[in-house]
Amino acid sequence: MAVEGVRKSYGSIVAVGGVTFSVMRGEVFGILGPNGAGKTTTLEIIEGLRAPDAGRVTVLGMPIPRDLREVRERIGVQLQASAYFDFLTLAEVLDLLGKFYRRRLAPKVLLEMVGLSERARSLVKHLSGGQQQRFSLAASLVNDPELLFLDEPTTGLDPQARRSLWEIVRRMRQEGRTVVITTHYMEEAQALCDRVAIMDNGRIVALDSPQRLIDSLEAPFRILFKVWPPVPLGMLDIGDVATAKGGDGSYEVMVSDVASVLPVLLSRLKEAGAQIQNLQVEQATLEDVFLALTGKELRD
Amino acid sequence: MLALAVACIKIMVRDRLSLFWGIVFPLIFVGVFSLFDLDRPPEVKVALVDAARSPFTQELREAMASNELFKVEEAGNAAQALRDLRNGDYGLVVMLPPNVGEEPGVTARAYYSETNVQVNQMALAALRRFFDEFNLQAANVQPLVAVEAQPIKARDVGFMDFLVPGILGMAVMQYGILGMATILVDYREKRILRRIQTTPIPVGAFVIAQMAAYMLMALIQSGIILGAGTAVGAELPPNFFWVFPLALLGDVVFLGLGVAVARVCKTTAAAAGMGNAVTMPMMFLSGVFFPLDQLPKVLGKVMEFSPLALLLDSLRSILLERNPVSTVWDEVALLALWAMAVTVLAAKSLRVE
Repeated sequence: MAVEGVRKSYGSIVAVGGVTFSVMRGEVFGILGPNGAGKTTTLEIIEGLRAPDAGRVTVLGMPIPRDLREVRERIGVQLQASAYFDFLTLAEVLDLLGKFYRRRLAPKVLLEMVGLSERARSLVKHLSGGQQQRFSLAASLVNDPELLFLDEPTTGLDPQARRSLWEIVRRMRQEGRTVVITTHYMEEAQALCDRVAIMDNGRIVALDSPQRLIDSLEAPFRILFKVWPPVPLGMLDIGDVATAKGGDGSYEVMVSDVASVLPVLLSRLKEAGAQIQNLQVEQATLEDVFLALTGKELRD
Repeated sequence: MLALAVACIKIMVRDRLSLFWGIVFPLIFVGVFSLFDLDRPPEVKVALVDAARSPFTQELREAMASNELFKVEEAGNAAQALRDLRNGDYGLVVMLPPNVGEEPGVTARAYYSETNVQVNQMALAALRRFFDEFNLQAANVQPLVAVEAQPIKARDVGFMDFLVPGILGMAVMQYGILGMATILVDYREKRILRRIQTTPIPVGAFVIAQMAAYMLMALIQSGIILGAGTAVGAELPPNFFWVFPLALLGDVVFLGLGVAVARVCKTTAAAAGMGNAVTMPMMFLSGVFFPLDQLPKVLGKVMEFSPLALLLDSLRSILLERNPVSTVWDEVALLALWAMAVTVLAAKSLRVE
């Protein structure tokens, strides 16, 4: 799947301002960005739901919109915040959707895939939020698609429901399906995606595997510690420290090299007579990548 | 496509609330109207102030009391009777002077209240006729010419015969416009239309399937309302089955209008409101309950061409006037024109988001 120079504006508002990327067969590709970054619009252009002002899209090697009908036979789409018919049971909805396609999976198989077998005869409106999202995922699989588009599938879900959805996405990947997923949760992108495109203001600001994006940071490690009594921030000004913040005993330091910073830090704290109550070293996250690239927090 | 229509029907049958409006509500209308005996003229309560109290007035009183149009009560006090008339307790107060029956040319006075419009014309005319007849009888005169009313219709046409086609048209219209508009807006709000757009099936096909489902429901509605109509006294001609294709043709217009209404509404509540804004005036101005010629002339002429009026015209021509279907081709042609125009409008106004 390839996107080349795609643009879309609504009046004077640029939703997507020239986006180019491609997705390999069999990978889970994430589009990460804050609300309003242009993720959904980009996805809807790829799905052929919106016409771009400029640019070219090919899906499964076929140009959009020319081969849209054939493409739709072979892709699965989960829309953001879409509901299903109030008065049909899960099995009935899946059965109906399946009839729209040449190739289809049985409702029973689909519900099993997402762990909703016992709810086959329930109405959609009687499902919990997490169950609805899982059902929505099942509905996007009715035609046994090669390529799956998931638009913010875990937004609004509790951590447990989110994890259960992640499991299903991982299984999709094992089955050899390509998955394109948008999210504004960096931990989701990090946990699920082989590669991530980070979007902001309608543009892709970075594109690589989560690990490489983090590694590319000037300071890819974070040292968190608590001491008593507090020490002045100036004391943390050590060679490989990129940024230091905190106060009142709690501090956060971003460093490029843990091995060179940590001994210096520990000896300085000891000299100052500060007792260490807590000390953690962790890898930077995509959140830090986003902050470094755009100067703003991912979450608003 | 068939699967879609079947699913749509399943949804409609399970949607008890909209089913209520589509089927039970019109039945309630039929039921409520059948409680009124609208075929019999209303009785007028008459207060008779008899100042003579002679054998002659005794005879007059009895004759009046036996007239089925009047419910006669004797009032002793003239002033009190007039007060009661003003309060609406009586329709008429008739005062017989003391010398009535003794000499010719005596005038009895009939008082009526101007606020009671419906009663006056009929009551006064009936009263005049009653006195004319009574005079002739009292004078022992054989009338030279008598009038016997002879209805030209071969059968008795009741109000139910007029009303049942009206209710049928109203029900099909309301279910068509309101139902289609709200269901489309609901599906748009829930992004079901968007979701269907991601499949190989065009959204238009889905809307057509939904229309087909509504049309099947229109047939069921028509059958149920005709059945209920006959149960409360309407009579069906042998060619009544033409009602079904006519209802379908009308429904095409109404469903198309429903799609158009859905375009301009963001929420289902707005769609219901807007739908009512279209259906209510059409219902009252297209002759569901009252004939169109009771409207101001220009308005009546214009409303004759509303889709509901055309449908009702053709339905009544068959059900009420017992005409063969060949007499309604004009209405059918105009309805078909409406259907085509509205279908184009609907196709242009379908909005997925």
